[in-house]
Amino acid sequence: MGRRTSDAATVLTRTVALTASFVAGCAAFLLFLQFGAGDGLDPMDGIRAALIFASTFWLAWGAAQASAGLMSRPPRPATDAGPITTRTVVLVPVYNEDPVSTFARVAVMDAALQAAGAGDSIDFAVLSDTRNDQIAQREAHWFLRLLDETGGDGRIFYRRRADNRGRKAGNIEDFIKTSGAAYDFAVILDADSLMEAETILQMIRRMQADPQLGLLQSLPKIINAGSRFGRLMQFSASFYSPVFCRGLAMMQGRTGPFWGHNAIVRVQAFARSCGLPELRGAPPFGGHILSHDYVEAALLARAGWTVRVDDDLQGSYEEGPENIVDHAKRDRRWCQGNLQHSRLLLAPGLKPWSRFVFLQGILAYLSSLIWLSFLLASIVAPLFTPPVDYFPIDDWPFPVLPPSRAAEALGLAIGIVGLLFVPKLLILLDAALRGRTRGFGGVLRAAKSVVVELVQTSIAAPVFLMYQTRSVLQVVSGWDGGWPAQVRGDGRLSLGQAWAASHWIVTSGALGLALAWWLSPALLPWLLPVAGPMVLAPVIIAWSSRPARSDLFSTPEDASTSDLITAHHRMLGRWLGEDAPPSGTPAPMAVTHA
Amino acid sequence: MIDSDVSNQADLISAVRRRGALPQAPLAMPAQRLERPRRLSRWALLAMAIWGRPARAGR
Repeated sequence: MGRRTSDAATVLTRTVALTASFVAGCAAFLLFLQFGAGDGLDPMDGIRAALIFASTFWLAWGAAQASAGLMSRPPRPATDAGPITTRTVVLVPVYNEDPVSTFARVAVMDAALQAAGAGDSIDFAVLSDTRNDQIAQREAHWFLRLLDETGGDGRIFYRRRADNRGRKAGNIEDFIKTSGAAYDFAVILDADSLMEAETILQMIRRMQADPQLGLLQSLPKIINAGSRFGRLMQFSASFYSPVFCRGLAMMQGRTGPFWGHNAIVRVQAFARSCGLPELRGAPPFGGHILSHDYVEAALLARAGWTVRVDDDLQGSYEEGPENIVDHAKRDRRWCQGNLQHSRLLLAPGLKPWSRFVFLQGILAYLSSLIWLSFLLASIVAPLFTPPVDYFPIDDWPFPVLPPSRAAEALGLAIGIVGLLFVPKLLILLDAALRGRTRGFGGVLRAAKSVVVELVQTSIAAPVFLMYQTRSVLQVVSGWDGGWPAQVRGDGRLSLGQAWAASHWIVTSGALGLALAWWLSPALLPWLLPVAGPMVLAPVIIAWSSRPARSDLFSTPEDASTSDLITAHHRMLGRWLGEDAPPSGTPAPMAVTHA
Repeated sequence: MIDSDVSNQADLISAVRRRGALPQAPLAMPAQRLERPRRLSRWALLAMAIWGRPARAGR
């Protein structure tokens, strides 16, 4: 009965959210048509109205998710209070990462699990797809260092693949085919992931308590951000994401998400259900599946397993990009992966909600193209507007001016801005009432952080819009971006580097303004909040990559840094102070299977 | 402390293999069906009937 009640709640939440988003989209559509009717409706008005419907639907969908998160308090999931009776492996796939930092994380997580008395039932496996021989050599050296540090022989493993077929998904599949039968569960991490021992144990207990649970996803918090951009993302992840995640959990129910890391899977279920084929044709739409995590979640659901995100799990951490350019590079991969899912919309046997999740992921990137198309259509619209008839009434000698539709335009703008801002302000209000702002420096500082976050993201939004639009156009025109190695480090960019990465955005913004000035001067004030930041893109990128100096964007992780994070920093400091591997040692060949 | 006798490549690989080898416990992970079988159009079937199947690469 409990499961049926929660299924009913999921269906109700989805229905209300979809209906509300559709109604908002229709309202924007009709309002825009009214606005367009002021000077006579033309085909361009119809196109723009359709674009504003799609954009508003998408914004309203996000707002609905936040609303669901604010209004819901999901029941506490079942957990097994008894001993850990299962065997778990923590998988750490790496690809050209810095081994010192990664292995230091493994060392401190292992130490924490040993201290919690659970070390005997939890192994670690570092799965290397590193292609760079020098990094591979350092991996081998630091792996032996890790074993000496932890006494981890026989429970901490390392394997470097001879080829990285299938990338991360293939890396994990290779492990399962080699060693999967030895484990009940696998915690999948990224190279920069960190999880508290208690969190890992809690996830194992929840898996033990629910034999139908195939995958349990935690909500990772970003840590160790130093730049202005990084701190903003860290604050957003910590302040807003729990609410959005709760709303997502309400909507997704038992067909929940998998984000590729900081999650635990039931190995047998994963092995039986999640073998990924190569799609017909060449990349970017064919070949290996890039965004494998969404597909694996859909396949688990297809096979009848529950996939769930538990937003109440604390102690799950990751690191993020420190500048807009690195964020855009990572986003390019996600864009290609999500657009590739268009090949799977009609895949046999998938749950309808899984298909909708694929569509959602595709829309997340198409929305930038939709917004840009709307702006371009608005600039060229005067070319299609019929000439104004000042004497529409026969035998009436005086001119009739067309009615002003400024109210409709303003109403539409306020509505759209409201959909963006109001959910975040409501989250602030909710946090203040519930005392959650204490972890963010108190009510006033949290409010200041929210306001500054809204301003900064509004200014940077056009830059993100251009990067995403370029990504979509590259993918659609057949350009395979592959899986470039993640850049980690302080991420500071000079103005010259920022210019090199964004001069095309500056040109696009300037051209847009020039075109608007020539064709549609009345549009200029509306266009400035978009084209202005585009022209200033190099300054925005460089400035936001600098170290943060203010006390804004405080998070609970700043206020009380966990022992695990502190231990990682100490371990890293100690290891970095030690001697480097002997120089002149030639790069080792790839370690193949025995 | 790492032994001084692992300072060369062969010793490094050997040590990593010996101490870090994954447990051998294979588990099948069959590829899932995500695409519907490709159906040939009537025209393609007619063309094959007239000219025969196209030769596969590598034969």
